[in-house]
Amino acid sequence: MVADVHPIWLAQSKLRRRRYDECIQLCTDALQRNPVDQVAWYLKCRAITLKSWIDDTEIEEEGVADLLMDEHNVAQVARPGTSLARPMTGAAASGQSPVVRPMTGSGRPLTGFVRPGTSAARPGTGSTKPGTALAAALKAARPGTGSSSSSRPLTTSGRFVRLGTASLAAAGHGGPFIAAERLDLRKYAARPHLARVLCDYILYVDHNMQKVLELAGHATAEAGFADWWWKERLGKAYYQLGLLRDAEKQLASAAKNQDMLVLTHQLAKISTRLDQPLAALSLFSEAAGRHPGDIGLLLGQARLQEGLGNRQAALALYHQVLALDASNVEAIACLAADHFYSDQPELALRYYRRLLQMGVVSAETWANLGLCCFYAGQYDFTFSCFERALALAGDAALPDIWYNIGQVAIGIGDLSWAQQCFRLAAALDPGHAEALNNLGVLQLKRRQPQQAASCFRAGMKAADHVFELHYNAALLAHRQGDLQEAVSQVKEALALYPEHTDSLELKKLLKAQLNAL
Amino acid sequence: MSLFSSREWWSTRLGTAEEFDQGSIAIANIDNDTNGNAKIITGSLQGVLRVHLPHQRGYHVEDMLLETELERSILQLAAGNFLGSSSICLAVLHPRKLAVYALQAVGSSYLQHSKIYEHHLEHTAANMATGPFGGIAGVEHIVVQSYDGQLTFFEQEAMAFSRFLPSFLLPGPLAYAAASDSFITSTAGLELVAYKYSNLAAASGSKEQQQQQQQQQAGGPPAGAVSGKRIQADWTVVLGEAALDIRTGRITANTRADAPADILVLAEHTFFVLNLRGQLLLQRRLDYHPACCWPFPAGPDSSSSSSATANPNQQQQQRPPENLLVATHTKALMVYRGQELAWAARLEMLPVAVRVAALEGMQGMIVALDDTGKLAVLYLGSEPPKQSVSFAESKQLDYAAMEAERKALLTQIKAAGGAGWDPAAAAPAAAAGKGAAAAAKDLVLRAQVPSRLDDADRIVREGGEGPPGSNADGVAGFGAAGGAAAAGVKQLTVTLLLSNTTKSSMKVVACYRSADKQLQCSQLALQLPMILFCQVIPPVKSAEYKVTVATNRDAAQLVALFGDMLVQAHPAHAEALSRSQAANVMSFHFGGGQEVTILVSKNAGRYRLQADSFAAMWLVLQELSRRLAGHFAAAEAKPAAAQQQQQPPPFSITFDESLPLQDVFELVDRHFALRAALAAANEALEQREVQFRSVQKRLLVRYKDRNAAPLNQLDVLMEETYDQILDLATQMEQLQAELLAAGQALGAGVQLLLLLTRFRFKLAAEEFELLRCALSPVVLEGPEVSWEETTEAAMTHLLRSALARSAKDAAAAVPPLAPAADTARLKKHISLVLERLSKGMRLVAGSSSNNGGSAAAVAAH
Repeated sequence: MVADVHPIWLAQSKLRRRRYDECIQLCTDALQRNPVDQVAWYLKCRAITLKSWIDDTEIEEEGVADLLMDEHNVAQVARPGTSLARPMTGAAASGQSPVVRPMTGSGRPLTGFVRPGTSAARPGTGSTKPGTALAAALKAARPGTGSSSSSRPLTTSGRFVRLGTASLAAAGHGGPFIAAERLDLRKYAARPHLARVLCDYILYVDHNMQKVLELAGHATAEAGFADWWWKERLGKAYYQLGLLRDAEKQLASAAKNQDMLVLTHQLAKISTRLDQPLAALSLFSEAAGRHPGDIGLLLGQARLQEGLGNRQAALALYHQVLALDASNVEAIACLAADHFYSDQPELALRYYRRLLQMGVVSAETWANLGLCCFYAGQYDFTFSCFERALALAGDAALPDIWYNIGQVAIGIGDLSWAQQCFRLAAALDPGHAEALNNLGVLQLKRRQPQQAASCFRAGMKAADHVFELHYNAALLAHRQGDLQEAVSQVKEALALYPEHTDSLELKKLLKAQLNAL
Repeated sequence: MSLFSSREWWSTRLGTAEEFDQGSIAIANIDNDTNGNAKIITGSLQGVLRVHLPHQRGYHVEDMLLETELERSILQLAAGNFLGSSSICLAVLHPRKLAVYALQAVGSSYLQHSKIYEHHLEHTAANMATGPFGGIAGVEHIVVQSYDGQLTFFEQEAMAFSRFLPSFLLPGPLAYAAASDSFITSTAGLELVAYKYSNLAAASGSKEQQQQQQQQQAGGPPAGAVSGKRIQADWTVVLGEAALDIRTGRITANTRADAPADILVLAEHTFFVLNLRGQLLLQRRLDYHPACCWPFPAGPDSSSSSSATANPNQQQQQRPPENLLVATHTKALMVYRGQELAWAARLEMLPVAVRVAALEGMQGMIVALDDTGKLAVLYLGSEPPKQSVSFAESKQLDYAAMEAERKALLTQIKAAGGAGWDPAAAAPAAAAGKGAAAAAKDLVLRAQVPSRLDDADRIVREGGEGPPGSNADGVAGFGAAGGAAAAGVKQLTVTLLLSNTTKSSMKVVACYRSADKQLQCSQLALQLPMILFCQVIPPVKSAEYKVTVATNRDAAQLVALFGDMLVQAHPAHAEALSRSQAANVMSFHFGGGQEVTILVSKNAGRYRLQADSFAAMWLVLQELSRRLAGHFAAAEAKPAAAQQQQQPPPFSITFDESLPLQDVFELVDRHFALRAALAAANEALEQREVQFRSVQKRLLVRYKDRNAAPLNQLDVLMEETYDQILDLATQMEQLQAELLAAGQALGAGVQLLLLLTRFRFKLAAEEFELLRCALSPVVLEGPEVSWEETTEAAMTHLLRSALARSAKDAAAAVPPLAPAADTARLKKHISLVLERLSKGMRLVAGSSSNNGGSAAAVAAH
């Protein structure tokens, strides 16, 4: 059909139009005719690389092995507000109290937008109970637990490797296109046209970091140590190997060569990984001074501020982002969540409706809309929203949706319905600690203290971030006269949330009672 | 993700199975029409050239002005002044040929094309760029980039020169920046390179020489003596990403007034803006995959509103910055104004090229072309996307069906054991079955608290959850701190948990502090409703024990008497009962499993109680007598006013059979035997414990000894003893539970006996209370002395005092309270007391009719 178009021209055009499979096919044919056709090799290499390209500037979840081998602990006990593992709580930090705003599985305040890493537990640095993150990670990594939301790769590179194998199988060649092990990388490093695509291929497709290091090392020497790109690739490889300090050095040096946004993101990612959010923040804010109006930098700051519990600062940043890009889903979602938890469901409703109009139609959006409608008093919409959410939801979202419906049921006073909802949530996700907690409270109301206690126990076993569980268990134990248990549980609750007034009261009461004995 | 969707003004599909790419579109007034209408020119890879002029909304046949086959693939189109005259003509790039056509209008409906000149190309062409190279005015030249890196320059009909670019692998997009008279392209090494036109023109032309230079360059420092000049890049910037498109335009707003255009590079993941010296001015990381871009001058509205109002005096020198249109692979159209995202709209298509043009006199129409040949003219309306979600529930809800379904589901849930759920319970069903028999029932008590007391919600402690088996009724306390004087009464609900069914009444005591800090107390005794203890079931036949009582009235209707009980009964049965008002049988089922039946004999006004358990009858009998008394009192109160002359004798119940002493004695014996067994078990346990401890001591001695003697099976002995202790302890627990049950049965039996005694001997209320005190239905367990002993003492006292036959009886010595060896004496005394009562002796002096000889002794009671 296209008789006289040069196949390479066509391949390049297909590559530009992101028709990678057709491009690879054309290049493969060309390579069969002429195995040493550099241009075809170059195009095929790029097509395969782009197929498995992922944006790696966002922090990804850390693997179990990375947690085990973590040697980058900076401060064992961080001061509040300097570590993501110890966000500021209470009135001092203007953050919302955990009573109002629930926590994620790792004990960080819930944000409005799920990113890789937001639901993951931080390494044990500075956490009140060292090793809990690792224990939680190991628990979640058990195969077959069904909680897909919390499953964690064994190693970070493990996840990359899995992605890689899939794309290679799609390439459909039996053997890999490039066997990096057998290449003379020094020779390639001297040919700058091929070296860069080869490096990306090894990085994104092969995930062979040693080879990337070798190639990039030769190439950066070839370029007279003045090429930011090679240093950035060195940094990337070091980062994936877990050599964070080396990675930081390379990236900082690259940033001196050329001020690129990618470098700022990478450096901030390393700081976040090292649990130095303040360093990452200063990186972002310096870069934002040089690149005014860049929403990526603003979002990075906002995420960190939110993680640290600086609610006001994060809000201001999200507003700035929206001024620059009115259709930024993340900013809208985070603002909506914040308005919801600061008792302004009407405003949150408007944000979520905006998201829906923009095409973010997901079970989570509908569930959030349902909750907002309920708390804003628009009862007629509440249940149709939840119906849609249930219709759209996958296995990962269902437990939370049922949990929320249970909350609504409590709100309208239908306790038996609420109990059924919480039971569904707990059955779908046996580790749903919040649902187990509420179920326990309802059992207590039905005068079934044994069942309630067992719900609390199950919840505590499933997750250790819900202070309500401990407080309720303490209250139950106190009512049953088990002062010992009550004291230990109330201590647990206070360890999780030191300013919880009810726990403090209970502790005072217990102390008085024990003194009287 | 955008709130709005683009709106289509005009669209058509170009051919079938034709392919288009980035360069396949050009927009210009190609036929040099005097009214200046821009035409859309498209060329497919299949070699079809088309020209369209949209006239109105929607496609019409007359919109197509030209469709012709050029026999070669069309790689790129460019419109420009390639002739030197002021007319615009069309440059078409084929793989091996560059042709320039002039298009003339024939009439008003179609165009005619005529080839002006063409150049055959030595090397396969990749793309081309046009512009006034070298700063010439009034004409545009063309440069073609080929696949081996040759730039060939054409000045109208003549080929000017060709140059090979150094270190070339693959052609990238090529752009000409007029302000610096340089060409910008991206290389295979992911760099952006700029070449000055003057540098290219002055360099030596032949490929061999350049290759020599390259080799020298690669091998070492360039040798000085090379003929001709090398091609030298003006500047090089490492972008790190492949460029998709390179354009020139003025994006940055805050440049100087005379600032030349910027270079816009759309790369795979980032959008870069550089100035002409190769410095990065702006980077924007894209969170989508871009497809193509087009800079366009912002409309007059926006410029006048934004910049003109701010600085009107600078507006003459400074053109407003251009906006940038980016189409993405997520089917969205983004409009950027500087850093700001000015507009985002959804697209129906995935374009490979976008342009902004004035069509039919309308400014700012967006022309988009996708690679399958859909050509569309769009505009950005504020219309929300089509698949907008609507809240309105159109279908009518069938509430009755929904309610029925909900009920069915609820029953299913209940049947599946949905009442109580325990994540850790292994066998909840089994536990539920067992628990149902001994289920304690909730009683909701409504107390009214005057509001001069504290608020009801300031309850200090809510008790009422007595451990199972205890007799403790609930204790609820209210904090009282002197109160508001407002009149009125507050409702307060206290929930109490009952676990013991040997009493049918309860007492509520409220303690409170009055305003002057005085502790005060108020109490209320109340009858517990029968519905708490038992429910009505279909009649059963169980006649192990029978009691018949007679009344001096006609028989009352059972359904009317026990109307409140029907509420709890099984609906079908309740319906059957209420329908046949004259039912003369009614059965009750107790929580503990006993069943009692009442039979009414219509004629005689007699009631017979039948039961499988002796003890269970008392509650039913008591209720029956109470309800009968109430029923007849109410029935006779009304006609009493009318017919006062005929006053019937007061209602009474009589019992004419012999008292069921033997049944009571059986219960006594059972209770006593259990006590003895428990005592024996206790003793055995004590012995075993002593034995265990001594074995332990010996073992300890052996273990502490440096050279210990052999164990001599002491360990076996210890294990045996331990097992025995455990067995005994379990046995004792069992016995204790049984004893409790036996005690309750005994209490109930005594209650029944007391009632029957009352009916038989027609005891007055005062007398009945006395007897009740002596023959107490409350069975208190003690370690040594229990009900048997205390009752015997009470009987002895009665025999000595009120029922004494002679002074000798009264003078008998009172033995101290001691554990009884057997129950013979007790039985004898009880029957003696009842026998004396039957002989007419009375407990109270005034009521004795005949021989109240020693009634004065009551005073000592």
